[in-house]
Amino acid sequence: MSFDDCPLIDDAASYVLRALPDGEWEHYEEHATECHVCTAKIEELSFVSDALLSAVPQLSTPPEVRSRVMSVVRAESELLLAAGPMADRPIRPEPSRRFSLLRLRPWPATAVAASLLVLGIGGGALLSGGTGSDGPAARSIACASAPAAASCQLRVAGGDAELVVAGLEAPPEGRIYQVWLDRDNGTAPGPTEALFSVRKGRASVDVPGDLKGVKQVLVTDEPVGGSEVPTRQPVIAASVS
Amino acid sequence: MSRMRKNADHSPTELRDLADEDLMQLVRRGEAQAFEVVYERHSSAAFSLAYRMCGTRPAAEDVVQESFLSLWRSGARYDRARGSVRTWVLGIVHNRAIDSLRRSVVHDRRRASDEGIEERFEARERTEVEVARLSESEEIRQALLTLPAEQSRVIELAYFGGFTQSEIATMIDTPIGTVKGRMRLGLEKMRAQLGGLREVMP
Repeated sequence: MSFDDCPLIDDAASYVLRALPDGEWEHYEEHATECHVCTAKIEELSFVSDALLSAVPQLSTPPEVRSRVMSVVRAESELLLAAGPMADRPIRPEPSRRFSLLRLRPWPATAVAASLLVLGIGGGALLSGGTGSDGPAARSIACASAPAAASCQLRVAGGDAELVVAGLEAPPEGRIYQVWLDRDNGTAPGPTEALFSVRKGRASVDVPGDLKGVKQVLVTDEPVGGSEVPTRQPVIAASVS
Repeated sequence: MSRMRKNADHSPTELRDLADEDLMQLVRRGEAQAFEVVYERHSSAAFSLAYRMCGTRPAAEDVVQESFLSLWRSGARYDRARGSVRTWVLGIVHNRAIDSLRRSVVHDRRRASDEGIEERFEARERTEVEVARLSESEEIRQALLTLPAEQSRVIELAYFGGFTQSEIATMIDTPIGTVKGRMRLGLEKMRAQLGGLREVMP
């Protein structure tokens, strides 16, 4: 049999170049699984299409891309490794939706205040007092607002704080949770470097920065890499004082 | 296999000595430092491809970021029997860029250098592998350039422009069967020219 025996043989080139429209591409792929002529041609031509991938002028990758990618990877790695060897690897299907970055709109302080009032924030409930003799007095504060299925505490010891959540849904595709500090000075909440996802609904996040003058710790979901100003309403709010 | 240890931390130097395929085993376990080495090795090629296809820096950055996060989260799917890590990475970038281009409402497929970014390489010293890759890349580009113009054009429009064969047929006012034939003939000629090429391993 010659290579030209299949009437669809010309589609092999379109297939490896991804020039077949969606639908036809999958249809041809299905055909090729049962057509050894097309399979052989795809294999032959894939050598070239693979080679073409690197046949472009080489450019430097902007460093900020690395920062954004690695901030997410480190956050997810930490959660994964903390979950231990039995944890599921975060395998996700290729998302079809594209998210845009750095197209951020400011989120005014008034909007924060209004949203938290709607959520019924009147200050967090003190769950436990000092821990006793060693170290600064530690306390756990129930988050004043969080999704209904989630539990959330802010653990404060001295100037350090840790946000501990459970039952929290993963952020939407292409987004990540970011911690914000809402200070009692009338300005919009300030960003922190604390970006996190959840593992089986759980996360434990150190709240960076000085809590002095902070009235609330907030969490929003933001584009991967984080934002300079919040772009969504908070999903979690915990009153510090 | 490998100099890879089990259940142990690897120093950055040790990680950089590992082959891509060994690094991917660590990535599967969720080791961020191993992933970072993979990123270091292939991000420039990924960005270059994305920029060549998308034509703007923000779009290329988005594609690269999405692609690397995707491969971080799907590292277990890498199958060394189906090719190198580099090809796998660039394949993801290519698919993402095409998806991005086809979603574009305006669909204004522009070309690179419209932002004044000319071809430039990282200032750091190139390794032997990188030099070999550049040479290989040049050889592939030359093979594309030696094709008849009507063949190289349809290949470029499809592969780097993200156009479908029917869009190309309309664009160049040529029957779709002719477009498909040109693609196939062009790729077959390149295959013959590049027959001796072997992928450079990292």
